[in-house]
Amino acid sequence: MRRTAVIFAALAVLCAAPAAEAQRRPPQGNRPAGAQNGQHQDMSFREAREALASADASRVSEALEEIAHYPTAESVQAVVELLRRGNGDNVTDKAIETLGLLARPEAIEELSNLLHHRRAAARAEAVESLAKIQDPRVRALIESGLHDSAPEVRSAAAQALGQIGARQSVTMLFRAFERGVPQAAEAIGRLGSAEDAVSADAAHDAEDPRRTSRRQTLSMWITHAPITVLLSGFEQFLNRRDVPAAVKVKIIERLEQRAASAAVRDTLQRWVSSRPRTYAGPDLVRARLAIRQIQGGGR
Amino acid sequence: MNSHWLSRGLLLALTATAGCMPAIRRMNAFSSRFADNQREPISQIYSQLPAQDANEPRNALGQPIIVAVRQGTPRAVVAIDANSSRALWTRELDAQSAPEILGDVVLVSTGARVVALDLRTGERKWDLDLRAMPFQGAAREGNSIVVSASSGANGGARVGRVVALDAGSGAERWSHTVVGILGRPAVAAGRAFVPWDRQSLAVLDLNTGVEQARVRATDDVLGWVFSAPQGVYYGSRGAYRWTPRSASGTRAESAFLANPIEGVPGDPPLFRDAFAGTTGARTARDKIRFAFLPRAAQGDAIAVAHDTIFLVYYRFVLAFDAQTGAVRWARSIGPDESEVRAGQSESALEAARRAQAAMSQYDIESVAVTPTSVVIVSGNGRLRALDPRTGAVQGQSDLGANIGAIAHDLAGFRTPSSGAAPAPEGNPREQLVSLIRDPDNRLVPIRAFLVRLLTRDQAPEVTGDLLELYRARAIPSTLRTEIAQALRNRETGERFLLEAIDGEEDHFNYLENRQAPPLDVIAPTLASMGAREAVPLLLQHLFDHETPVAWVPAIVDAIVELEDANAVPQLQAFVQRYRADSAFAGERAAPLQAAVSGIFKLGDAAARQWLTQLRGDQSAHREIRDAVARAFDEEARGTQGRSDDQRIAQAREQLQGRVNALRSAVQRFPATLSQEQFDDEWNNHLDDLRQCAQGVLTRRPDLNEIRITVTVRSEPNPELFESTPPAARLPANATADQRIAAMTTQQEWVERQINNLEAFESGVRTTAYSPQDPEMQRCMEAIVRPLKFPGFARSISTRQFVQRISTVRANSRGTVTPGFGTPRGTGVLVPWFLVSSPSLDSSGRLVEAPVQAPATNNTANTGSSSTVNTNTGGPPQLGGTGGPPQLGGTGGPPVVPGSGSGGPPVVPGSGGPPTPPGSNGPPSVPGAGTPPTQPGTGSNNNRPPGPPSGPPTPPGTPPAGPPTPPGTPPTAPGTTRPWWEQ
Repeated sequence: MRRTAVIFAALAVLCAAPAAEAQRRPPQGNRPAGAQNGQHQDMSFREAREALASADASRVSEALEEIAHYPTAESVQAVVELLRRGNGDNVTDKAIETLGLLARPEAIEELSNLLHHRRAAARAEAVESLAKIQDPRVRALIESGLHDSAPEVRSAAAQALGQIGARQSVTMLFRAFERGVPQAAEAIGRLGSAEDAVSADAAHDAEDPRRTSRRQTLSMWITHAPITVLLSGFEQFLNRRDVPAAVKVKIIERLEQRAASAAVRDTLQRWVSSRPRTYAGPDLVRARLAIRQIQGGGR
Repeated sequence: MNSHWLSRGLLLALTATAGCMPAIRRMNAFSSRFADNQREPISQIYSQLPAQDANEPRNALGQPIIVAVRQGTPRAVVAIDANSSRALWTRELDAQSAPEILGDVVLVSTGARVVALDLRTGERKWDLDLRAMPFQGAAREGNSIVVSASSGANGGARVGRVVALDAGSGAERWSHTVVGILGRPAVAAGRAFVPWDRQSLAVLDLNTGVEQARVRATDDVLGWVFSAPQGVYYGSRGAYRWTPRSASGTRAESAFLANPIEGVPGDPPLFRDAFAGTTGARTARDKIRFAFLPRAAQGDAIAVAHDTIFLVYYRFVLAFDAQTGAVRWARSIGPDESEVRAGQSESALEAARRAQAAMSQYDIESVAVTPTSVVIVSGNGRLRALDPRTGAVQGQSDLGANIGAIAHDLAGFRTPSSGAAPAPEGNPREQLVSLIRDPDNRLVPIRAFLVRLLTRDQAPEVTGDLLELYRARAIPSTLRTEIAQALRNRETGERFLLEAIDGEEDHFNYLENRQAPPLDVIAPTLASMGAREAVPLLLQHLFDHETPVAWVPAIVDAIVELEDANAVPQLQAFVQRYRADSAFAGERAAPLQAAVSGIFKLGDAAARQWLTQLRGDQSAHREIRDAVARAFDEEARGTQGRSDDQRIAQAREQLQGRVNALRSAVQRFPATLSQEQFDDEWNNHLDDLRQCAQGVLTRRPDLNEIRITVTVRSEPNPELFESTPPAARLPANATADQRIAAMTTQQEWVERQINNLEAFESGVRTTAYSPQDPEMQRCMEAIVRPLKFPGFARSISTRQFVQRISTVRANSRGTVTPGFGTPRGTGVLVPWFLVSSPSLDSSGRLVEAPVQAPATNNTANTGSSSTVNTNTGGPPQLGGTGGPPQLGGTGGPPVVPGSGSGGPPVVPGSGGPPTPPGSNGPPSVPGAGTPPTQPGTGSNNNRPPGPPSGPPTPPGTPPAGPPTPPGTPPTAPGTTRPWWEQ
């Protein structure tokens, strides 16, 4: 029964987050590492809960790892109580992470409070934990992380928005990108529409994104932001199946025309290489052409 | 008694300077013996002064004129028709001063000389050698021009020269050279008004140069004078009108207008400083100035046009109510100001100029108040006429040149027809806020002043204004500090503070580029206002991680001060959450400590219990546990150990009080022996001394003078001035009794010091008598030697008092009548020092004439090799060479020291070189420097002696501490008699 629940929980998280994020989760079966190699004796939930009251930080950490295997409201309650008692940094951060692993909506309120924790690391952890909870309230809370004074929290928020598929947040992500949150580019690449990537009008894309009165596109930022940062977003657009090939052709054109460089060439090369051998769409043709052009005359 | 003392060290400096002075001649002006503040001549002059509002140009062209020094290379003097802005002429000249428009000539200094240019053509007419003295200014009436030049106002030799010239030829009519500084003169009613040593105003006959009257400020400094159709005005930070009441020499008794605007950075006087020479270039002094226009007033009152005093500070112009100092309007001149231009070419020129110009191009170089306008000229040559009532631009024009120093005669000025612009927006409060926001960071000092000005208004809106200003990003930190201070002192407007911390908008937001509200300022202010409704909002910000940690203690303190016990659970939650978190570890624990303190003060028994648990919580930061322990301990000691603490505190307070008394006594300990201190003792022995004097006069009826020179020496041990008690040696765990005993010992030491200080005396070190009559000497020595005086501070310091007595020869045949001290008007002789020269006719007989104040003939010297020159020439002569002949010849008094007595001069070095400069400066009048004395006029000085040499008192500081309070009226003739006659 317990294993089944854990599998369901893992599946739920996998559905919500991409593969990369899935790597951050506990090992398969949600077994703590120590438990897997036989160094750890499994605690019962009751034991784990009692251990949370220990003055020994390492024991509390072990208990948290165990509790993560029980994604119930009671587990959330136990961790929240621990957090409210006040702890050292390690325990606090572990507890916040555990709330994310539990992925229970009951944790949202406490995680929301923790978005105002005095330590930026704790706030970033809270953002990441929120991203693991499937709940409509989560997006707004994560968005609030973009307003944080700490870059690491803003970065975590941008990534989290991309992970949870918060398409409504694209405008705010553009704003964050403008204010110097580089991770917003990748999130825009994941979430944005074709119009967010590139405009059909090349002149539109040539405008200064900070002064334009028209809709921002990621292409507008070429020459206004580091290309390596922008490529993280464009690569997402190119990888997406829901983006039409014609749009991808325009993206490739913009990159070739306005940012011809080794970084662009390498990115396109990587993208071309990842296409199925059978695929021969216009975007692929354009990408190959761009690669040749950049190799010939590019920097 | 003061009347008997020869003047102190003045003559030293005077004689020292004499060697490098031009020809010294007998003075008929600036004499140190001239009676100042005499009502009769002052009233007579007043009666002849104009007192009408008039607006007619005084220059020969009969039109409003501006004469300016054009900046650049080469410099030039430009004359401009103020109404048309048309240049009349330009004369290349290395002008080193602001020009002076004087009838048909323009006077400007080139450094060594003053050059007169023809006002109509700019042609050079004549020039004047300034004898290496900086030009101070000039004034004209009729065909006479009075020029003053002076050096030493900022240190160095203090020499001044005033010259009257024929305006047509530049030929000298008369001149005076004085030891002292002279300022820019004014002329009116056939007289020159010459500011002198920042304390006096000498009034000289324009034709002869003879001094007719003198006003000496006794509780102020005099920094400027000017004449206007409404009268003659003088003053420094305030303005006096010359009236009979000027004879009082005091602000209270004179027709005086105090400037209600105080604290302006740069401390400008109310009118251009007459002693601060101009350079011809742009100077900060010219950019920071007050301006006003006198208005004819009823009787001998003083009034200003528009009832307004204007202040110009670089690009700012402010108008103040002349009586209350309330701001009437305030505006800036600058790039943002909309400027209306007359024509296309002007527009292009202006546009180009504006594009290139720095802020400083808009600095106001000149301001003048006319009956209808406030006329300002910026460095970029733009003239603006402002409405005195609203600050609106009535019109503007371009003078076509970059302007440095400016002179103007704007009577009859018509406002330019173009360039009108509305008054600055908003009410005066809003206008001030606008100026405080001005981006010109050169003007931070005045912007800070404006903040202080703004906060005089207790209207709630001002609190809102200050808050907005504080939050404005462009505000420099020094200004922000000023604003924060102003906010903390607010008593009204709490709603603005509450609004500032209420709502989503009032938190930090990175994306919106929004800052946290300044809770470090808001929270204490709300607490001082007792705004309890602020507590929930403050708690909200307490838990907001974007509230800077440094502000958290202020927030917690405010919550505690507001005594809202409902806040305790949240304070507990705050402490609980972070009790072990590194965010508040070590030195960062202050917010938690403050919260602990708040919980302790506001919490109930349960909260105390919670704190007790926290104290034992080993996982909590040590600083928090300590804070809890401290709170409990302090409370415990408060009940059990209060008596000990109280005793110790009481003893400490008592000791501190006595230490303060000792320090005060040390500070009060005089640097030198004052006149009063000397007199107090000396006067006790007058009868005995008189007998000695009578004796010698009986034996030697031909005796003209008796002199006693006393040197008083004070040699205090430096330990006498020690004011810190020796440290008590106490064990680390000293009991309360031990501590109190130690403090008692210290207090006893303090009492001994105070007693020693008060009991310390100086004594007579040397004496000298003239004549060297053995019997008289024995007689006087027995009296003088044992005298004891209060001590004075200098470790080795001498002080000499020379007392001179002489009689006046009865007639020119040389017989001497020893009938001294006879009251005036009886036809009998009085001692010469009671008589001014004109009071004796050519035969030496007394005539009815003003009797001068008895000379104060004491001389101080603090040098160890002190020498005092008592009299090298003779009494000053009124009337100069044209005056009546003096008794005993033309050059000296009836008795020259030593003459007639057969003995040597009593005072060492008498007649010789004085004490070298530096060892003993001449006594200075507070705020004014050395009282002026003319070379060759003798050492007699009818003014009270100033304090010994020391740093000059800042202008505006009331005179302090000289033996005789300034303003002490001259002793009435017939009522004061020589000491030996009393």
